[in-house]
Amino acid sequence: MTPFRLVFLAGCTATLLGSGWLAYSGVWGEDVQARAAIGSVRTGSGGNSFGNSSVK
Amino acid sequence: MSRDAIRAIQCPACGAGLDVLGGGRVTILVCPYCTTELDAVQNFATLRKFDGMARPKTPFRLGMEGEIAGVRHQIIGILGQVERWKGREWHWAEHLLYSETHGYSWLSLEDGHCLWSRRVRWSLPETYFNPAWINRQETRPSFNAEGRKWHYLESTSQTADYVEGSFTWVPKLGDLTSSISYLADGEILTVEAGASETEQTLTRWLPRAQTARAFGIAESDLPRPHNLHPGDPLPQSDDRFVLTTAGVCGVALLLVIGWLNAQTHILLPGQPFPLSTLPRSIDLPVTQADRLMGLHLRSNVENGWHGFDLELEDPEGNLVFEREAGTSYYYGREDGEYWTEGDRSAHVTLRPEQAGTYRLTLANAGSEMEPGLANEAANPATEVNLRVVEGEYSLSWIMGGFLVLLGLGAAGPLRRWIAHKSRLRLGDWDEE
Repeated sequence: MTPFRLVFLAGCTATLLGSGWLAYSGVWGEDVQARAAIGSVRTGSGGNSFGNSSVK
Repeated sequence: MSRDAIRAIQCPACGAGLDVLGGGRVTILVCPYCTTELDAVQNFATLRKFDGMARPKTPFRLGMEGEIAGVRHQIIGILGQVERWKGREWHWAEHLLYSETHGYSWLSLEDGHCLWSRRVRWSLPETYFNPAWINRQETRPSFNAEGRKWHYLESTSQTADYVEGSFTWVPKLGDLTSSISYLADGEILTVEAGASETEQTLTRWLPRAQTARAFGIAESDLPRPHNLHPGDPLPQSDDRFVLTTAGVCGVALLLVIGWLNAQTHILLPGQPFPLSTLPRSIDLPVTQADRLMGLHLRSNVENGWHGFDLELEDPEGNLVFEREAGTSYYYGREDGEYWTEGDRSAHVTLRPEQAGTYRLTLANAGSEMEPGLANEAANPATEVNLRVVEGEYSLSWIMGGFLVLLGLGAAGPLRRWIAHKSRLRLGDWDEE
């Protein structure tokens, strides 16, 4: 196994595992407005509004 | 005594001791000390004297021996060559080699690059070595021969400006020799147009350090190359391994998609709710905390916008969020063409922090219609379909992974293609 092959194999494996984990975890998959609404609810915001969403 | 038996003579002009190198085809010997040309066939008689020659910069000397391609060669002659074009000059040294088993060949030192040239007798398409035909071509000429694809590299005219040692012909200073070269991977095929016949030469780039070591000199003795040489072999990128590995990882990513799909769990299968039954509260038994949960709505609105209020409470009864999700759909016909706009679907993706039974309340938020739009029907939604899935994943990361693997797989061939183009650009073909 040459150094090039090792590096290439490591790169492909990292791509496979990395993209699989990111997809499984749903990184950046959360709805931005829903996340903002959740944050507002947690901080006790009442009546804030954005777009077509509103938070109680 | 035959000439083959003579190993050394004294130069009749300067008296210096000269080794008689080369095989039986040597006809001329040029004394390296006084540059007198001697007739090797006629008892080393003095023929003429070359004056004012400058020795090319080469660390190789007459009599040096070294192995090239597993064959022992001896340097028997040195030629200085020069090409002049538009006021510029390019100089290089050619060393005539002799092998008792393989005959004559050349070791050239060109801008610090070591090149090995030997005569070949291949069946080549003559047209491709016709300067007038080449000048008429709009794209770079190329042809297949001897299992390689040859691409036109350059047309050159060179002349010798220095001679030293033994030669199998009578070297002439100042005579122009024209040649046309084609390039394959690490090899240059040159055809010289002679008066009576054409000579084909195959030149192969040699590793500097290995060549210097073979002839008993240090690599640092060789001039340092300033530029890439067209004959420099293309980078080897282990294409089979690269493509196999990237392909296997691509297939593995497909399996990952299958596995991720198996991890998703439908909390509410696409269930239609007539608008007359809203608001409705639905219990969602969430089992996968910190995974994505998707709320997917689809209405049957026509030529209008219809919104729905979504309110989610966690298992402890605390409000997680409330938001409005809008669906819209417009269609019509304009200038004989059918068009649509908008999306009857709406999606909300969130990440529940704990497992347990969440309560989702779905309510009608009203509609805005576009009556009379191109005489098409405009109807608010009469029902909404709600589907809730937990354990959703981000497909975009998988697509990104595929793109990276594609890039990695293509890197080797792409690198070779770029290297090939960069070598061809060193020739005289103008792509424009």
